[in-house]
Amino acid sequence: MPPTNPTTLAVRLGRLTVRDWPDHLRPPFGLERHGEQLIGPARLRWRVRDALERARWPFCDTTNAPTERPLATPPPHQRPTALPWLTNLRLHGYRGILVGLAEAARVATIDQLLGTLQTPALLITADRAAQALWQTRLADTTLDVVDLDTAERLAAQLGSRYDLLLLDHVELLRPTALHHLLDANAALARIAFAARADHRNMLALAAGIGPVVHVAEHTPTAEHHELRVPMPVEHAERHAAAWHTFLCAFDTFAAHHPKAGFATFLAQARRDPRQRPAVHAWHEAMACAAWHDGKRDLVDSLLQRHAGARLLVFTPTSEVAYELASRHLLAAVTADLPRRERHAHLAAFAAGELRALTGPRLLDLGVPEGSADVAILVGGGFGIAQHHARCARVAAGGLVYELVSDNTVEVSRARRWRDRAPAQSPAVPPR
Amino acid sequence: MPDVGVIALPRSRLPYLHADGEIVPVWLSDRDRPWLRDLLDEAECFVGRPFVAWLRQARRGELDPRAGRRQRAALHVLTHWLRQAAQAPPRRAVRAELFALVATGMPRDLALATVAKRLAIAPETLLATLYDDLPNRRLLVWPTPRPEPGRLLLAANSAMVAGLLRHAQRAELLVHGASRLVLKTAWLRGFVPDLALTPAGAMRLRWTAGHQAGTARDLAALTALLPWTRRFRLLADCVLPDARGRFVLTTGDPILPADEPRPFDSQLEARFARDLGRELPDWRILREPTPIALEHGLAFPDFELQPPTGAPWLCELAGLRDARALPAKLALLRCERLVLCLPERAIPAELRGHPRVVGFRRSVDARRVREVVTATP
Repeated sequence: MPPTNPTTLAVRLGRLTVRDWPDHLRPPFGLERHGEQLIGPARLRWRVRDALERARWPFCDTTNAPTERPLATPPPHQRPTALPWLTNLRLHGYRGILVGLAEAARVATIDQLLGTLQTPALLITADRAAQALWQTRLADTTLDVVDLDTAERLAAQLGSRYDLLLLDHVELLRPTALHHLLDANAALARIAFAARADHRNMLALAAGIGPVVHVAEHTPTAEHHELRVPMPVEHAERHAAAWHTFLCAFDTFAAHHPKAGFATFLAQARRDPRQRPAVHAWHEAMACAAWHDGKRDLVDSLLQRHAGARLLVFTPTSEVAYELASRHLLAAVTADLPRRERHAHLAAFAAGELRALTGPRLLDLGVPEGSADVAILVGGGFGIAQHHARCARVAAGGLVYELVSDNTVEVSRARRWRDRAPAQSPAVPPR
Repeated sequence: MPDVGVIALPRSRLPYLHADGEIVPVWLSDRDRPWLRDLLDEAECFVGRPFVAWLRQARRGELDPRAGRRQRAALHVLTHWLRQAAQAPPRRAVRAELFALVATGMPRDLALATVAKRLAIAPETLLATLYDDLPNRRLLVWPTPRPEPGRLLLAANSAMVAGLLRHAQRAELLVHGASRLVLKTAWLRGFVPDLALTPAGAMRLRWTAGHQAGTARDLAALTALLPWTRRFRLLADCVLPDARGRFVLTTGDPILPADEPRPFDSQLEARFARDLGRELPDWRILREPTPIALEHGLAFPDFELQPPTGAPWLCELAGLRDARALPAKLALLRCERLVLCLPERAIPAELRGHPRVVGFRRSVDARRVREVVTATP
């Protein structure tokens, strides 16, 4: 059928509007018909373009300045790529997930992508410390770097401005915010960097980003030492009482919902006044195990032992970070600090002017990979991904001390997190 | 009490309903006074203790059954007030100095003693207060004057409005009265909406994200001024993750007005308004009703004089501190129902005897203005 009007694509406020869709073509899944228009999430822009290109139907994409060069073919003046995974990416239309790349490789990849695609690009990081680090690394490029919270807040405005969307440490990005962001973004090229190829995460991200296109070789990591710390008697009693309160409620729940997990329990217990004490008790038990006199003494001796080393102390809370900062005059890096002071500490550590930092979360991605000789994981934590991000701050051959309160849930959790190293995580569901 | 005009509730704490394409805030009202009083009393018990201790307690407890989701809004505003009231010792430079000394290899105790001596405090005190300037670690101080439930509920409503407007994609604001105050504030913030005048004499501002200069935050910041206008109506199309719809804010909605703006620009205007009120007791006198578009830009007549029946008059008092402003003032005379008050020395010869030009020396004679506006029906 000869075309009468070219199909028009427009992205506004995170929604894609398609006008004059050819009648003989089936619209891509996810678009809804509203009168003469098709409307859907902005992420479907590449699917619409793909369908029209395959049907050789003319279209006018008003989202960004029209690109004369198709994304799939590199310009002739481009040098041959030294990074093997870029070929895979190109074959997948620059949509996919790169797993296990070291920091230097990620920087080189982004550099090459910016040179190849020459489109407005946006990099999303997990937090502001990581954002500042990336801004320093890529200061001489036109890449915009935004942390996840800002990107989520401005998703509708940012959605139509970029044609290359990059996501760093995608497994550390909050899933709800990430999916909202991906839906509202119209970028044709979407590339995510992940430390681990967990098949559940990868499947969930496939629609918004693309498939896993490369899994890097496992690189040697730091030497890991688990240190079991007995709790003081009063602490142990408090922990036991709180744990008992929690288990009473959780066991009842588990008996009624054998297939539900801890997350489901938390979600419903928060809404149920009768079960809420169990949630508070769980928090109290975790807090008891995360920091007590035994750990305090051990941290003191470890800091004394590695006095001259470049050292990171990952604490369970910012209060513990302040306590350690006051006791040992280590610079604390927390979200409460003014941003300028926080960045000054991180930059001073990267430049070698400060030898030790302590903090609960912003150190996870705020200092370059392999920049520390010793890391002390005092307690707490938010999952395997964060654990690996913390360990990755230590150079190969360095030391990671993980402090674990004896006879608590920390023991099994530490084993679980440690045993599932990035290389051992399956990229596809195990058969 | 700190100005709360631009506190905005984060999305997770916004209590609103979504019905028939409209986003309706769940306003706090007088029914909420009892639990607000309890909230304030509980907070006062923590005076002198770290701020974070109160915050943990307030967030840990269950929601008050009388309050529901509205409690989070009130808590957010109260947190902001108490954070602002808490005094912070300057510690940032001290920390930087301490860490730098330790990094150079100086022993911890020596570094501590050096800095403590310079500050003339004990090393133990310095250590104990090293991070006391951070918002959560400041000691809680009760603000003066004492926060009242009535003010807290209005402030929470204002924060709710600001929070909703931060998600606005386009907005239309109709303002009658105090138009210069609104526009001046908007322009000072870099917020430049499309401006038009309605047939009814109101000022209409239209703004669309990405098309006009300014952000939704600037729009939100304007809302605290709106209660100072005579009449307003704000329509905003908001896009929240779980709701898209129109938010309507209008005269009479329970929000907290910003600090009182200066009512008059000069003593001359103040005296004239008082005298005119005596001369025209039946008339309604409105300040800065609406701008007038002229070739050189917008002009803001000082007063609108509304008779009991019939069309209103405009009145402009030109002090003419800068003589170069005279042509622009004279251009106002093209508006047929406008009285221009000029200093005697500045009136051009050809305009002496003009029926709508009133000369003055030290003060404007309100009787002469009355004669002009009552002479023509």
